[in-house]
This record gives sequence, C-alpha cells and structure tokens, in this order.
Amino acid sequence: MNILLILIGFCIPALILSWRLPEKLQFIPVVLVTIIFLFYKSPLSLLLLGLSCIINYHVLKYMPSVTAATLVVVLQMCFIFLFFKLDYAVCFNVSQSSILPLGLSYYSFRQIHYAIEAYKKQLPKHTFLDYVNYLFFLPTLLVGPINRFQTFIKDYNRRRWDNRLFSMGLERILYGLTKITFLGNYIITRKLNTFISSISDDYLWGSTYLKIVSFFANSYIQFSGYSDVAIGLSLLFGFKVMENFNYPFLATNIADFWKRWHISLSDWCKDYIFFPFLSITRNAKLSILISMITLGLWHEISIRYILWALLHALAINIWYKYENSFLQKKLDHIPLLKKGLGIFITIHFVMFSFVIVSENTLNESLEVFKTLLVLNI
Amino acid sequence: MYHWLFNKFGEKMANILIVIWYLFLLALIVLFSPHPDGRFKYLAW
Repeated sequence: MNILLILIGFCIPALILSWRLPEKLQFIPVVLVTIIFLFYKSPLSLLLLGLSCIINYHVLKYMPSVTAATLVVVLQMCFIFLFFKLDYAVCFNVSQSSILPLGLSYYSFRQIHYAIEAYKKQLPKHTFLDYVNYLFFLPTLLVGPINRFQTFIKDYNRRRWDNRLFSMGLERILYGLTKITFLGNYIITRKLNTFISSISDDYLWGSTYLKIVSFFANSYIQFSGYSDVAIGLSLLFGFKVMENFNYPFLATNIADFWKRWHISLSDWCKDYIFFPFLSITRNAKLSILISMITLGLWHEISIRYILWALLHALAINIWYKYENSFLQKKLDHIPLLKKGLGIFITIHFVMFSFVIVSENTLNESLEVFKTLLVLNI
Repeated sequence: MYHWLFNKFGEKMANILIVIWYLFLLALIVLFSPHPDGRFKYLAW
C-alpha cells in the first residue's frame, strides 16, 4: 500500500501544475515529478530508463538502417530485462538486493513496442519530448498497463480539461484502493487466510482448495486494483489508458481468459511474438507456445513459470482443436449449460495452474496437486 | 451506477446516495489501510 500512496502523493503536485500551466509546458511537471519519484525510490531505475530513452530514440532516428536500429534497441532492452530478471545485477554489486529496478518490466516492453512500431513505420509524427513524456508518465510507470505510444500521443494532442473524465478518474482510484485495502488486504489476506489456517487440520482438501481460490482471488484483486489506480490517475491527467482486466473470472474458455486477464501484456505478446512467429513458421501451435513462454518469463525467469506457460499453451491449443468438436456442437443447443460449464472449467484450470507459481518449490506444488486429487492418503 | 440511481430515485436522491456510497468506500479505505499488505508478489517490480 505504501508505494501506492507515495505514487498518488507525487501525482497530486504534478496534476495541479500540469493543468495550471500553459499548454506547451503542461507535461514538464509530470516528467519532473516522475524523475524525482524514481530518484527517491529507485535511482537505478531512473538511470536505466533515462539512458535507454535517450539512446533508443536517437538510434531509431539517426541510424541509417531501420532494421539494424530496431535490432539494436530490441536487443538492448532484452539484455537489460534479462540482466536484472536473472539477478546478474546482484553478482556485479549493481543492485544490493534481488528487487528489480522499479517498473523495468513495463518500460522495457514499452520501448520494444516503440522500436517495432518504428520499424513498421506505424508511429505518428512526434518529437523526442513526446517519447520522454510517454516513458516518464508516472501513473502507468510502475504497474502498467503496457500502453501503446500511438494512443498516448493521440490523447496527448487532444487532451483538454474535462469534468466528466476527472470525476471518472477519482471514482476509479476510489474503487482501486477499496479493492486493494478492503477486499485484498483485509477480507482475503487477513480474514480468509486465517479461516483457511484454522480448518487446515480438520479439512485438508477443503483448506487446500480454498487456499488456491484465495491466491487467485488475491492476485486478481490486487493487480486489478493497482491497474484501477493507474487508469484513474491517467484519467485525471486527461489520458484514457487501455483496460488491463475485463472480468477474467467470467471467461468461458482459456483463449477468452487471455483476452480478459492482463490484456496489455497478452496483446503485446500477440502483436510482437505470436503474429511474427506465425508469419515466419506458419505454425499456430508453435507460435502460441512461444508467446505463452514469453508471457510466463515476463513474470519471472524460472522453471516453474516455464511450466506454467507450457500448461497454458497446451490448454489453448487443445481448446482450438476441440472448439468445433461434436461435444461443443451438442452443447450449442443448451447455451446456458455451455456457458456455465465453460466458466467453471476455465476458472478451475487457471486457479490450479496458479499452484505451480504460488508455491515455493515444484515439490510443494506437487503435494498440493496430490491433496487435490486425494492421492496422499 | 449513477444512471441507475437517477432513473430509480430521481436526481436529488441519486446525488445523496452516490455521495454516501463514496464516503462509505473512503471509510473502508481508511479503516482497513493498516491491515497487512497482500500484494501479489509479481505485481510490478
């Protein structure tokens, strides 16, 4: 909660100044506040973001070969991302703890998106300051969404004071904070988890099942709550940032789930991993596999996240294979049952797959699965 | 939600109810802020 309140606290002066100043100077306080925030919370992140921002923009603008420039930027961002995600920074004493530079996962993927769009010549006319504004936009810097440059610039050029947008933003922040503090921290982390611990001796299966439900619910509430605050803050600045969640627990199949959960990341993987691989290999299954592995490794570079990604890739492939199967066609006549069954199976598959990443070791995950399948009696 | 309240109870009552709703949410945030942080560990950094 702390960092979120600090983030909101930093946004307030930027907000006041940005709406009070003349139009041309409106974004300077936002960038300055972001720099001060990063300097205060994570100077290393400020250094990385600052340097990569300057280098990438100028490489893409002045290098004669667009292909070579894009490759340089993408490889550079991949190197920085992997260097810190793999904890090499600790070995070189760059970072004293295994905590990543703030927002690295988000701004590295934003810069890769920018480079690829520049390669495809899909970027609108803009200046270096626009690129700085895009990367140093405090509301979305830490918790996403991985918003797109084109949409940001469109909003940037059109932004005007709008009472309705401002009140929507305040409302969204209120909902986000309530989700995090009341539903996530109090109801789930405190109340539900205490209840689970109290029944774990008498009802092992029930407590294991509830623990899985609790982990999934907490992940969703916390993450979507933080996204709500980020989207709300952006609205206060006059930006309509993309949604990151769309009721994922109502997904009727696994492909649908990935259109509703962490939408900005799954869209990024679809646009920059899935479609390029599909056009090269003409193999949808392989493209899904590589996209899901990228998505998994974005969270953490580890065997368990690779396993988690493989499981999801397998599920998506199975879903597409049997999407038009005989059983599916039979169920078409009973739409309510089809929808209900789809939601039940999808949510349980997702929750059970989260066991792989929620436990500390793979052996512990195996024990949980054994309990669920009543194999450890 | 506001539109629903507006249609159901009229403008004045809808305004009062929405303010009560926001105050209720604010009270929840203030009351439950001291409770332990249940942040999803792979959230952002």
